Amino acid sequence: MKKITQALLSILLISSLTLAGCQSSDSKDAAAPATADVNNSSTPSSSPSSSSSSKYGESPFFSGKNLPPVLDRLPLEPKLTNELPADYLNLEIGTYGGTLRTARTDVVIDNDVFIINNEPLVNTPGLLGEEVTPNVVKDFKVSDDQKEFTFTLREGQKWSDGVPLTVEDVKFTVEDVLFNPELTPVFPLWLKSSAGPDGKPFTFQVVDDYTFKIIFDKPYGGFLMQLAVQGWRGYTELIKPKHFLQKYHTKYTPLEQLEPEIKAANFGTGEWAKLFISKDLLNTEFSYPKAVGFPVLTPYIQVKSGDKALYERNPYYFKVDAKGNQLPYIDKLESNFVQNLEVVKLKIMAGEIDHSYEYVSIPDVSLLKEHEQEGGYKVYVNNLHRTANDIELNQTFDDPVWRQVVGDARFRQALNLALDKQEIDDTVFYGFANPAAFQGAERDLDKANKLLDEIGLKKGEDGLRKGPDGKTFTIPLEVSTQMADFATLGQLVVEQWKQLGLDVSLKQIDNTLWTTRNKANQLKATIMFTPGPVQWARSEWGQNIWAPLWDQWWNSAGAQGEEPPQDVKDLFQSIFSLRELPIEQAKQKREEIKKNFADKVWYFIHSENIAAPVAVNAKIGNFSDKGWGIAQNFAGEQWFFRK
Amino acid sequence: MIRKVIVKKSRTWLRLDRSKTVSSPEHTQDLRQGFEFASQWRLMWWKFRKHKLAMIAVPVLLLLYLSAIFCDFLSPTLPTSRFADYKNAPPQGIHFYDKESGFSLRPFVYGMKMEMNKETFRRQFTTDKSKKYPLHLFVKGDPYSFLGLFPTTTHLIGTGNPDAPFFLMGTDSLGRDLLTRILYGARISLSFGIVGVLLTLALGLLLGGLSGYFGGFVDVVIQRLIDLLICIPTIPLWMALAAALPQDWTSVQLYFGMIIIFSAINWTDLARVVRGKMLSLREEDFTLAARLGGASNLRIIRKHMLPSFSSYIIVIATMAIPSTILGETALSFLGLGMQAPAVSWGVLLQDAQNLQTVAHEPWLLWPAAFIVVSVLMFNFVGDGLRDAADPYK
Repeated sequence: MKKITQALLSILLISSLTLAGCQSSDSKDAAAPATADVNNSSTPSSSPSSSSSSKYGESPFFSGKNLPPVLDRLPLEPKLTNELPADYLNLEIGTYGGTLRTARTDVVIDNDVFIINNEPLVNTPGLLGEEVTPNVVKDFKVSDDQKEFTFTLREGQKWSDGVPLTVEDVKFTVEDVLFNPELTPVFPLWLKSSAGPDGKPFTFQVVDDYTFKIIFDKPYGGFLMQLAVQGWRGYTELIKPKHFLQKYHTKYTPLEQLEPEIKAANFGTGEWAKLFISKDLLNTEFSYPKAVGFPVLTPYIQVKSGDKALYERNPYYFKVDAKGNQLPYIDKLESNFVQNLEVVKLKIMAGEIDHSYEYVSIPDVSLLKEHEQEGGYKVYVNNLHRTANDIELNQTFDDPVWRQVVGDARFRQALNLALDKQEIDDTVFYGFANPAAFQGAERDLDKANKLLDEIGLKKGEDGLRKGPDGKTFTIPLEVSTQMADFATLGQLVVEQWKQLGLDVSLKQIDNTLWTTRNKANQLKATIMFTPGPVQWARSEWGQNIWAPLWDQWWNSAGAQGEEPPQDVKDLFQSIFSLRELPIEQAKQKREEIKKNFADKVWYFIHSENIAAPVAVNAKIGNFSDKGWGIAQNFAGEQWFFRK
Repeated sequence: MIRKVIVKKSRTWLRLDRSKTVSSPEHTQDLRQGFEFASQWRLMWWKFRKHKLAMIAVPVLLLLYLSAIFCDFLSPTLPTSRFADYKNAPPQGIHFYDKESGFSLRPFVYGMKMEMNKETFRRQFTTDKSKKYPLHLFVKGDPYSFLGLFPTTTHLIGTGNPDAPFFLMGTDSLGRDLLTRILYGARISLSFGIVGVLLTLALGLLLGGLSGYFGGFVDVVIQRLIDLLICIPTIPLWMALAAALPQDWTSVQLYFGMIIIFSAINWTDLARVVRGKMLSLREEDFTLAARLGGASNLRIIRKHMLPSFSSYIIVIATMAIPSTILGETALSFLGLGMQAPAVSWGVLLQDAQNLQTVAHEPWLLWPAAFIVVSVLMFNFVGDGLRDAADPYK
């Protein structure tokens, strides 16, 4: 053991003497607080020959676990944690130890653990991601023409089972998974040039053991943002553990050898692809039972699945704090399955949960605040860049009268003017939001009525406005039961629009039915989140809801759906160009899009700066009380328990 | 026929009895009004009258149903009217006495002020004693159509001031008056019980009657069907059937769809009783006599058998109403039955499904009180009817 270590150290040009000492005094180091450990190593690391107890600190959790020393477990250049900028969080040096408890109401999906655990390839410190910095990769370069992206992996970085991470893993993921039509029947849109439906898939080039290139045939300046921010993206889309997954890939393992496993997993003969997919782990699946034993790069590894899922720190995690202590600070996560939301709240109030983001909502805050003292937790209500539940009218619904009316921008402007956005914010968000200014926050019923009269929607004897066909024009809102908010907002909208003499109704339908009806272009009017207005790099401005057919046409490059009119095409073009442009230009473009939405009111965006609550153990340090962007920061590894 | 038989019976008994009491003419007068001469229904009524709880329950139920029928007139506002400045407002008290102006015969309510407390994140209400709103009868308010007959704006009680708060039972999170919503909710919830039971009755009578009268193969089939239905736990069965209702139905269609679901399950009890009665009655002499007299099956059932156990049917039907009301409430509460914006007691209780309501807005639980009261009252009435159903015991 000693010999191997020393051999490694000589390669790494670190004092063998120091490390020999370090290894022998392993247990002593572990007992001492990590910070003290770092303080001892005051010698500058630039002089490798000088003696220092260790360059890096580690958790006592690993003592006696027969692991290589921390220096060998970290990459040559570990990542210095940077998830939140200084004005949001003044990072402290934490102390090791403790178990963070969370709760979930789904058997396998666990978003609270996900936001702690996820690691994108590159990340964006700060709330809206204004700048892209390396995360899993050590470095990246973008060619001037925004076509060529060069990524460098961290030398010496290892999977959670100790196997080194190399470009071989990337090559495997790209060539054997992404470009294997059996495993990836539909090539992801975001990996085609400029993320467009007619774009070509990227080409892949290995430069050396730790460097690879991704080349597009057209400029794709937004690619880095795609890697960092879009959706809930992690590293798994470009890096998968080859040494683990090749066992299930016919290129490396003959199909005959796989057959028994395929059979055992209840797949048909020869369906190795299904077996592979069932073994492979996406970044959203870290909390699934199959994650146990799967090599990862995340701060925590699932060690036990089930109702009480357990996660332990990853000994090979690649991040350190400013003093060189290997992160995370907290040793273990414990995720408890509970039957319903109310139980989560009770557990928070009893101090049995240390962090809950997913299951706390604004109406709960007053009750949770009341019990902060007894429960030993704090509730923060911050702008977490939550997407609003916007209101959409389907402009491609198959009914000529409906289309004629709803397709008229004046009609949509009138409805926008009739919305009492202040009341919506006060009622739905308890005042923890602002009326969205860019579509106009003013309410003006007279102007709205005038616009409707102008279009020719005359009021009949019953006081209800008639469509061009002479029949009462009705707007049937159908909202999903997914969120209680939808029905609350729906009831407000119905009443507010009724004041214009319109016949508006509301119906709640099951979420699955909602999805089916939406896909089949059967929803006339509804309420659903759209991330576009909030997260600037996102291209989902609700097109699939307010214009399902046009959206299909666009995404299938004209193969399906219906061709949109020119102004919509232009709008879609500018929305998607956000992906192509470098950040500064993209921001400008975004202002144009916002203006377009203000003029044309494609759908109704009523609120912005929506605050959302987080309940967190009061003892947890390095927790920003100023807010953080969900799915953008993933800074859970920096939290620690104050003594 | 059966009634005649009974009357005959009682007369024989009367003759025996008269030997003791015939002496005074006064007494005879009494006796004519007495139970010896009374009809079956009259006897039932007398016996029912003795059941004190049932006697209390009947007027309460009448009151509830009347207020459900006239809810639009009785309620101070409309169920969809929102008071944006009074969200989650607690119930207000009605006052007669004020420190400054002293006692006044006309009741009044104080003004209220809502404030969002940024510390506790609660909407806090302070009573504003400087503002008094006297209450009036027959005030002008939100327009509605009285029983769907003619449009009017008169409400029974209110302040007459559209901005003044007047929430005897508080408001919900959208600032809607809960009392109004409960009254409107009564329309759906209470009528659901009655309409539901009517259909149950029809099914139960038909199938139970067929089963009991014809016996044999028909009886076996129907009885096994009943066995099958009874052994399935009701709530999951309701839920499964409610989930099977087409999602694009309007709330009226949903209402009747749910009634069909309830009746499709609830008829079993009634059918069993009817069958049992049929089995015993068809062996009776008067049935035989009717049959020998050449009466048709239908006539025998209608004229001879049905009247002799109609009282039992009424009892069972009454007892079935509360369970139907509870069923509707349960399903709506679970989000499977009626849904907002339709207003029923179950839908209203959906708002009270969480911890913070119980802790901070307990008045949202008021609909539960109405459900408890109406179910209890129906049970009392049913109890009284059961005691009275066989007045000859």
